[in-house]
Amino acid sequence: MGALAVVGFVVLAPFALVAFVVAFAASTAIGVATAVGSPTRLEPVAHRAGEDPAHRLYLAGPAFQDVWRLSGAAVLATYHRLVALPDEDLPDSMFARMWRRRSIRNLDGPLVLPPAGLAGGYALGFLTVTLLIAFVTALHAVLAGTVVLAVRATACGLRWFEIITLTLRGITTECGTCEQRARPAFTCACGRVHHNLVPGAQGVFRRTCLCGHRLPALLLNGKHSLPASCGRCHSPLPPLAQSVPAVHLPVVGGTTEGRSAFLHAVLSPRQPAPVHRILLGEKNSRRLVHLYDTAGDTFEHAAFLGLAGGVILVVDPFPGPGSTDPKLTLDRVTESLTELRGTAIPLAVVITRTDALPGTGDRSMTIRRWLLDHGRVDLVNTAQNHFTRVHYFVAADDPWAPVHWLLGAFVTR
Amino acid sequence: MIGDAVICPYCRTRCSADQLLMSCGPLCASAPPFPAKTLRRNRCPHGRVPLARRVCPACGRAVPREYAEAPGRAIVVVGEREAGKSTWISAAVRQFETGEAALAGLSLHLLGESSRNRYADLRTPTTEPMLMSIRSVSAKPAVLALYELPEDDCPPDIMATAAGVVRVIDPMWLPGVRTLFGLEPRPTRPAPWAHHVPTALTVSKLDLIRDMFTHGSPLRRPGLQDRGHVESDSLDVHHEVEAWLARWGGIDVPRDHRCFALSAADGQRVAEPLLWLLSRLRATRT
Ligand SMILES: Nc1nc2c(ncn2[C@@H]2O[C@H](COP(=O)(O)OP(=O)(O)OP(=O)(O)O)[C@@H](O)[C@H]2O)c(=O)[nH]1
Ligand SMILES: Nc1nc2c(ncn2[C@@H]2O[C@H](COP(=O)(O)OP(=O)(O)OP(=O)(O)O)[C@@H](O)[C@H]2O)c(=O)[nH]1
Ligand SMILES: [Mg+2]
Ligand SMILES: [Mg+2]
Ligand SMILES: [Zn+2]
Ligand SMILES: [Zn+2]
Ligand SMILES: [Zn+2]
Ligand SMILES: [Zn+2]
Repeated sequence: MGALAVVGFVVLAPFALVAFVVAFAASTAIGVATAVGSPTRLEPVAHRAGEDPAHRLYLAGPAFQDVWRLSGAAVLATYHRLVALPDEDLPDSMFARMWRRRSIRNLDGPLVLPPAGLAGGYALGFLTVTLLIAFVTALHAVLAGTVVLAVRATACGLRWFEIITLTLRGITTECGTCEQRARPAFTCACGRVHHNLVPGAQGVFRRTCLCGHRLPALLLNGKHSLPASCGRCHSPLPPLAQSVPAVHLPVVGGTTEGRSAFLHAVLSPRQPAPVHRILLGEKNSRRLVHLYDTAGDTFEHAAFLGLAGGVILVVDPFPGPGSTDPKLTLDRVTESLTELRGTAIPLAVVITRTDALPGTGDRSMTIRRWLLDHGRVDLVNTAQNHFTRVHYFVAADDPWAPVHWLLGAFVTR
Repeated sequence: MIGDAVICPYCRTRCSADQLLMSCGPLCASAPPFPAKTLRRNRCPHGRVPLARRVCPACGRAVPREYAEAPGRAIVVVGEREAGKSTWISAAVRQFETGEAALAGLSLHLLGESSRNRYADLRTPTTEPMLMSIRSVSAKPAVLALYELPEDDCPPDIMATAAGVVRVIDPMWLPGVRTLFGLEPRPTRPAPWAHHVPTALTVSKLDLIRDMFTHGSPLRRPGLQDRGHVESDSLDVHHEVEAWLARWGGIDVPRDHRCFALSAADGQRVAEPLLWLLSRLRATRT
């Protein structure tokens, strides 16, 4: 009987070895092919609910699950091929075939021994195969786990790298429609919107949109040139919003104080618009400056004041009948700022409708003195009692000066 | 100081600053207002930027943030009818905006459109408060709700919340002055309220009676142009006016008081009662 068990085992062992070698080679080959080759040759891994419309990255998760599925299937297949009892629905296993042929059921006495030995051998063989499979599985699991972890860690690292770089450079995206910070969404050529285009489970450097298009997941990688829109209201974001820090400068003033004239002098040939975006500065100090032309009766809905890095107050120091007093405008602005975010920002006071003032030395002090001499101590006090820094300008001097001063104050902040 | 009780200046309901209601912006359609304490990173429950203003949960009127966070104190300006209360308030605001107080570096801000409308039309009698914050470069802003009330018709709930009183006295109604000018005597009424808060007894229309004072009198001096509140000068005026009030009669003097005399018409010493009250309120603030 012992001899027969050895026979059973010997019959099975080569089979098991061959199965083992084939399975190991095949699964490793698939893994390598996936890692190296084009993923489009594989069946796409469907994205989950709530995820962006892109395939999941095979090596960022599905690979690991495949190892489990593969080993489970291998154990099951071996069982069915070798030792499964006869079953009408399934093709007979080796054991079952023998069972039928020899009609072991009808034997008794010492005659039952050889088949029992054979059965024991089969069982032993099956156990060995299972152990081999377990070993392969463990090997694969370690391999796949390492790869998946490495991919995930790289994605996570790159995601944080991008966040930290943006923070250090002071780059934030603000939607002009919602007038608040917005998370950019990117639209693929096929029209599908990717709300979370960052390195992750759908791709480390690039991802594959459901349409098959490859999209860059990093700004370094070309993401900044994709058309971006506000993730909340879907209105388009300016093209440079992702690569240049934004500075928001509301230009406030009462009606007919020369606000539009001042903006016109700064932006020369532009059309009137509620917000103008201009790119200023060189290389690392480049800024995307947003200038808001704010008609100044109420700032109740002016949520962009909450983003303001500084304020430009356009003042006609001697308002004619029918125009708002600049003190009233300044009060309304400071009140809205106080409601939204406080007044701890710099203020540039620009005097309009006045010829360039004579005098040398500190221009700002000269203009301040001039305002005091002309009885506008209310403006000077309100400005200095609220804002962190106040500087005075005359529009006739250089319309760019207040913008540059505020940028300087913002950069050195 | 968030957490301090805010007294709504319009309906005098007491609540904490984070119970004030905020409203959603235009993008949220007509969502109901929500308490300020449910703000998440300055966003409304729909994740958008809410409107800036906060409203009282009881009366629904906007309570400026500066008033809610200071928190604001009620100052009651009382006096007989025609005593010159409105004229004084208007002149005092002007003093803080462009006059002697402004030259000392102070600035005054009317808070909210309703306060600005009230200032634009002081003539109409109303219990509508005028909210204002008075700032200097260094100190925290002092936020006040100024009520103008006629002496014979003071709503007790407003008097109960008052942190300070400015009692405007028309000298031409005092018995002593009337006999001096040969006018009919007037029956005097005792003040219908006893108050235990700092009271500025303020003689108005000083220009009408200036001739009564000697040349060395502090009431002939124009005031300290640009030096703000100076205690010694203020005490000079206090003793002088107190003596005159005692001589003219007809005024019952509250316990915690300081006397002032001013002329809104000439802009003489107009800011002084408010400056004194501010220094008193600052001193009592912990
Ligand atoms: N002399 C002179 N006139 C000016 C100057 N700036 C503006 N104006 C005149 O002031 C008027 C109003 O100027 P706008 O720039 O339209 O004023 P605004 O503040 O934009 O007015 P609204 O948009 O209506 O609120 C125009 O007739 C201008 O020609 C200036 O520096 N000097
Ligand atoms: N000469 C002089 N007249 C003044 C002065 N202040 C007020 N008046 C006059 O006193 C009158 C009453 O002034 P108001 O300020 O309206 O008095 P009020 O206390 O607000 O009056 P009611 O609101 O009606 O109770 C007006 O005719 C003013 O011109 C002052 O300092 N000097
Ligand atoms: Mg305009
Ligand atoms: Mg009045
Ligand atoms: Zn696509
Ligand atoms: Zn938006
Ligand atoms: Zn909302
Ligand atoms: Zn209320």
